[in-house]
Amino acid sequence: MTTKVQVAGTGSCKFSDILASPAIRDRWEKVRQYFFLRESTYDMTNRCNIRCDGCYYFNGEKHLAAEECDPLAWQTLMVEEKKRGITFAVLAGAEPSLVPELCRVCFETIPLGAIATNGLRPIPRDIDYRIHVSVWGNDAASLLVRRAPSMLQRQLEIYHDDARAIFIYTFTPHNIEQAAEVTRILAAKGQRISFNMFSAPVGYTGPLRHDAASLKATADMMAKLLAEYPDTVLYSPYSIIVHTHAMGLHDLFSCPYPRQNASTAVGLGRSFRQYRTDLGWDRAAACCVPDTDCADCRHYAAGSAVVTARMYRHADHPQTFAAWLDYVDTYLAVWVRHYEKGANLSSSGNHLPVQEDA
Amino acid sequence: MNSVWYAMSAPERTVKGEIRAQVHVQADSPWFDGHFPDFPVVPAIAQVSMIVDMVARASGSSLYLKSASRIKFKQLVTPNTVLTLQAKAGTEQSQYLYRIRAGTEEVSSGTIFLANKDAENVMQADKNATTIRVAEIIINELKLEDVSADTFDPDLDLVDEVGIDSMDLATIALVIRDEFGIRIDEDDYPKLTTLRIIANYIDEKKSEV
Ligand code: SF4
Ligand code: SF4
Repeated sequence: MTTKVQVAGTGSCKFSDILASPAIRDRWEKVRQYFFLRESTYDMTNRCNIRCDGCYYFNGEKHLAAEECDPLAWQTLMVEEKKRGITFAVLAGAEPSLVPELCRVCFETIPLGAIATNGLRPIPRDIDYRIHVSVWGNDAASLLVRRAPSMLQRQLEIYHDDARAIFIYTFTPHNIEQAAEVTRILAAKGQRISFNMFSAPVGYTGPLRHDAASLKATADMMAKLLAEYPDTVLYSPYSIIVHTHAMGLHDLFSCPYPRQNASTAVGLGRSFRQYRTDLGWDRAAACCVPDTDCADCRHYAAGSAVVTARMYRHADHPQTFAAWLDYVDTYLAVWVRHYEKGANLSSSGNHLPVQEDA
Repeated sequence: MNSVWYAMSAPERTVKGEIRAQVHVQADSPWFDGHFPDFPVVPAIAQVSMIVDMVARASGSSLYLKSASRIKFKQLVTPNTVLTLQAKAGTEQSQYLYRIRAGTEEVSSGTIFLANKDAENVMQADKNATTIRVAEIIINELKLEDVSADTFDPDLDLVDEVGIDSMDLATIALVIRDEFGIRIDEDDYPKLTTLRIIANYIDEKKSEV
């Protein structure tokens, strides 16, 4: 079977006609104020306090880089990054909560950003970045896959009254049903949750890689939770479609990160860098989830850039554009502090601007 | 100059804003009259004239050569040679960088400054209705201040000098798509980085219809 992706965006509907709908225009004006966001990601330390199966950080060579622990060196880097036009810092691998003084330096220079953490250690409140607390199932499953007991319980103790936090639930083929239990617990605690898909690292042969059945079951569970907990779940019908599609994000949308994009003209290909803990970076390997297998990439961080960047091809029909707006509204609410998500405009979300030919 | 001296194809503009044309200098061109009767060659200044002529035709203005610099003549041009002319706006106002080739061999290259016979200002004369309208769209969409459609430098790099990014370019491309009724390929809009390149792109697309 050959699969051909046809790009829409051919102007079958005028952009001005699409924007004639007041709801679409309002949402468009809301999200476009954030077009100034330009991200780069930073590995903060090569250490983690736990060790999870399928962790992409400890795959490949990233974790072999030496650690730059000097806050002054980080400050110098951040000043240079700001000069380069970077407006959003994503602090990731391995576990940023182990180096709060470095996170603080980043926040003080680039005030918008997000930290990805396993949530087992507090991050000082003055570092006012969005905080993504990773959840891989209920506590029994976390104990198996992440070898950490009482994870959700401990995460909730630390983040119980912290508006920076959003819990990011990573769906694997084995924890789909548990998402209901986790979402119910988080809803009862007034927390918010968004979804991630396990995306296999290069060469990964373990049991966490999704297949057609687990993608379908995940999509059904996401839709159920989104309907049941609209105030808790930050997601959209279109997010479900693109993140549980048989084709990965790269095949659907052609990933614009430098790792898959040779052009340095504009956008991520021009400005994105992924810094290792020694403050080095390599354009050929640069994306938000390096060492992830592009064919299996459905990662939430990847989608935030890949789908968002493809605005042009979604501006073909009001429903398609509304679905894209829902996606971007979700992405901004998940990543940017103080950005509040609106109600989804598109209820079915089934407006992928691509077609597959058998 | 006119076609008695040589035959020039209609100049084309590429997406990158380069102007190109082909020239055939006939054996009976008056240029060969005074130049080495036993060994006829196209005089050096004639080559620069062809470039001026090509840019003038492409921009629909009557231009003349104001000054030139760094001109290098690398090869003699004999009768009945087909030359490929290329010129691109430089970073300074009214400046063009040019190159002439015979097949793959470079014949000459250099930098010239042109002026408009009527208005003295190539930049202004270069602005046709498309350019003005695109300038208005960019100013409006990007909410630019301190610039008007008349004063907008057509060669200002929107990415490097104005600091816009891919999402803004996509937005501009969508408004242009609406306004001019043309199809803009998704792969093309990231290349539309100056007013001149955008206007040329639109004019090319419209002429295809
Ligand atoms: S908590 Fe994150 S960095 Fe640490 S091992 Fe698990 S997946 Fe890897
Ligand atoms: S892993 Fe995902 S984000 Fe990274 S280059 Fe591949 S498709 Fe893009």
